[in-house]
Amino acid sequence: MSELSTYLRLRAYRERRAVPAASRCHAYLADAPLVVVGYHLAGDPGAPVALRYGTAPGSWRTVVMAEPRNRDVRFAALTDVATDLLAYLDGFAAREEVTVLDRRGVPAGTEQVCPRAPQLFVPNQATAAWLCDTLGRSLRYLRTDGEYAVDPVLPAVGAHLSFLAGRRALPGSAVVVAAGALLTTHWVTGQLPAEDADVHAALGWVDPPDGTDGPAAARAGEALPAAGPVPDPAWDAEVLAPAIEDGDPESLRALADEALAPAWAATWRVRELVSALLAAAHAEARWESDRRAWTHHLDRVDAGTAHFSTRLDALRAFRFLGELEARTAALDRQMALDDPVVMAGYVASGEALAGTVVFRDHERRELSARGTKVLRPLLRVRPELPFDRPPGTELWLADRRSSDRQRLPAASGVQVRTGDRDADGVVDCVVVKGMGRKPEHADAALPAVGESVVLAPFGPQPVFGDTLPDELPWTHRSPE
Amino acid sequence: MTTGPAAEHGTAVERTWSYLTGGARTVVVDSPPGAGKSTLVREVTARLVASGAQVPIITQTNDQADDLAAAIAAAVAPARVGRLHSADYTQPDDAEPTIAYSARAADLAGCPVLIATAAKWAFVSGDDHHFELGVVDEAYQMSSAALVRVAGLFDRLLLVGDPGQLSPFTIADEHVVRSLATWPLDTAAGTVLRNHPDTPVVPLPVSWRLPPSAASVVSEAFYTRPFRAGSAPGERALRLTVDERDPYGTVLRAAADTGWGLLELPEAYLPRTDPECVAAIGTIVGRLLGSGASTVDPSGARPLTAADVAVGVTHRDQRAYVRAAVDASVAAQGIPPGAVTVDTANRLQGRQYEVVVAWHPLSGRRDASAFHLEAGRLCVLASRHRHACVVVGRAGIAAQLAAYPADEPVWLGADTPQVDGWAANVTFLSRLAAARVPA
Repeated sequence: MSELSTYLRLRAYRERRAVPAASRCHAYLADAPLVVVGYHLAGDPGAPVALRYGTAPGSWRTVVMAEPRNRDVRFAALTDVATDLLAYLDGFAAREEVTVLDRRGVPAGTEQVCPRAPQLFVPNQATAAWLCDTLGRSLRYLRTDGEYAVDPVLPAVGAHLSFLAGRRALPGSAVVVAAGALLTTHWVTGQLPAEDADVHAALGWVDPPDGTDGPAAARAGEALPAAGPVPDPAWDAEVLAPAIEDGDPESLRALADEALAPAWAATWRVRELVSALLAAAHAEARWESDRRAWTHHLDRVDAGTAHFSTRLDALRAFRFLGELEARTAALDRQMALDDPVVMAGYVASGEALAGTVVFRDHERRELSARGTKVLRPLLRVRPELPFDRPPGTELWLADRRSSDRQRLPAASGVQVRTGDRDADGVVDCVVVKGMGRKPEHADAALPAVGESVVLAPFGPQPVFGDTLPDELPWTHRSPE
Repeated sequence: MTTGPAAEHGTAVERTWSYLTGGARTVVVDSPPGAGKSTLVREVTARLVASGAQVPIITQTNDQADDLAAAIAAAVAPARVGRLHSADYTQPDDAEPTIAYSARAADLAGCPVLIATAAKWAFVSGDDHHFELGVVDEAYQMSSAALVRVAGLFDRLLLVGDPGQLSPFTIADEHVVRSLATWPLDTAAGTVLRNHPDTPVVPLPVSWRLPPSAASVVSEAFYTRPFRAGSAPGERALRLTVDERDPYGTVLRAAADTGWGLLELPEAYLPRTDPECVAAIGTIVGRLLGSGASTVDPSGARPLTAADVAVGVTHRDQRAYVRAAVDASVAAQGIPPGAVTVDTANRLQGRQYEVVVAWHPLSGRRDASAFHLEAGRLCVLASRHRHACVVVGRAGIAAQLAAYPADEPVWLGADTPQVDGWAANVTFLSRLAAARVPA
């Protein structure tokens, strides 16, 4: 845990209310998400009990399995759900032509991309894992012929859920959003992270009803029926078991609907809370990557090649690791560049330097190793917090034109190397890169005296092609 | 008949050479800390160059590549050493004149030795370049994911490394990777040994760095292939004059006499930047450098300077606090800030000092997480010194280890580590019991 997040948690504890950990909404919020809450049998994730889903807070459908252990009943009910889910997903099949830019930003042809993609909104990560990973895997292999044939919508939905499961593992993807994780990304509560796992308790801290406070609302939240996918043991024993005995689907539906109502309300409330924040600048760019992946997935479904393996082996494991690492790093830096509250964490930990430019010499030159004079402008920055990294630390100017809507906030290419500090703590920063070749370029590229700047510990993301070979080399294969 | 350590080491080098000339496709050399790994790479390279081969060398960091280039340039001169690097690399100021620098492999085609990082080798095209035998330095720091990108350039590989070092790690969520994929961050040496089980492994039997007091402890706690110290007991000495009326003096005396000191602060659960530990480390370094200490070895006696001392920590925030405390503590002696190295275990890998002060990774923690239990982390901290090591930590580590439940998940397709981190920690702590000084 960083210094800032520890401080925020203690402050939330003292103020008896969650405090913001972000000032932007870092997840892309689709217009029409499909919110799904549900329960499965305790100890049997493959046996759903009830699912409540819909695309608006006031309109939903609740499907129950009157006898969850009976596969005929289960698959009949799941066929209903799958038909609705396919109808929802079909709404995102349309494509539009977009221009492809090459690495220099020059148009290089066109391609068909879905302008919209589906978004699954669930109360917590456990529900996401259950729906996408577990149900997806259990449905996608079902046979549509032979003795135990199922409706073809089931394996079709299994493939879509498996796509969402694969996508869900990537940091920054928004095709599956867990309300609980969304909440704790944007607010810090005054309780333990383990207690935050209950979305009702965490929401109590963030959004306590009038006349109460965070801890009290969290306790009230804990008393609500479980957010799923595992129901409360008491509910299992006192409500579910007798209802299954009775065998009346209508009464079970009413009971399940009642039990799932708090999770449903909490999920929509979280969405409402984060949507009140300004959208983070990079959220849409990450969503574009989701849309392209969705388009690609539909292509594979159409071609009949949407196969999924449970484990990635050989080259795919290396490719997956590379993608995961790149996305993890990209998400961290994009969140910091998009959001001053996130960047404040880097400033507080001493990795970034925030301050005011008190002196600038954009015409300064230094003798290079080759004996030629090179442009090395000097900035003197008075830091807001003492900056104690050793001289020679490399930092990058966070783009000050982030208010320009045409451009994403980026770590500009302006790189500085810190030098000495004077007695007042003012830090010398020698600009070594990104200021252009001539003083007039540097004049335009560098902040003026009096401007506030943030020097971040990360520069523009390097773009490298992947160097993975086409097949495994001999070191990674056993000799034949 | 007993053989001397130098003869044993020489035998290991000759065995490596005979495997290479005998045509083995892969050879792994397991080198404990300070066992002459770089010397072996230099020696083998010089012989290969003498036989007319072009020798490509794969390192893990630019610093390692620069150090190795300097050492090899001296050994193979007047033959040229090519140092292949990325576009934004700046060459060291004191570069040897026989080292040629370029960002393009084609420019260096005439050099009998080519040195670059694994990351740079990944961008050398296999269509234009191919080598008969490649040498991998620090093959236990290199990941399988790095090896897969370069292995196609070479027909055969010599992999040299220290199996006790920290394993490759990732910034990505390890749980996600492990549950979805075959673990792609095995070590390069481990990958080769798994896929080519007939690979000969040559253990270097002698640590020239560690004194006998440390070699026995480190070998027992952290290595499956035993090694011993190259120096005889009593051959080296740390001489100092300290006031032994307080625990700092007592622990320094213990370290000078036995090679180990364990300063145990009262048991407490504290954040990892535990201010009392920070202060204690600052005081110890100050007292050590103010004690008129000198080191004695067969080359003679010389005074202990700030550059001979390092402090090893686990986290970067610990490093920031300890650095400030150490600088403040030695300032009165006219020692400039930064003169005493303070760094994390990751950054201390491959480095050597006369005396090391190590902040125990489990100090003050409520839980022993897999990160803090990793054998490599403690091993690096406990094996950087030529004379003595002072470990600083909170009391209660033994109880914490005893209480720690083994709840780490077991992953499909993953090799179990050669050395269990929990067991290594227990062994290490029990061997240090005699050097314990309560603060």
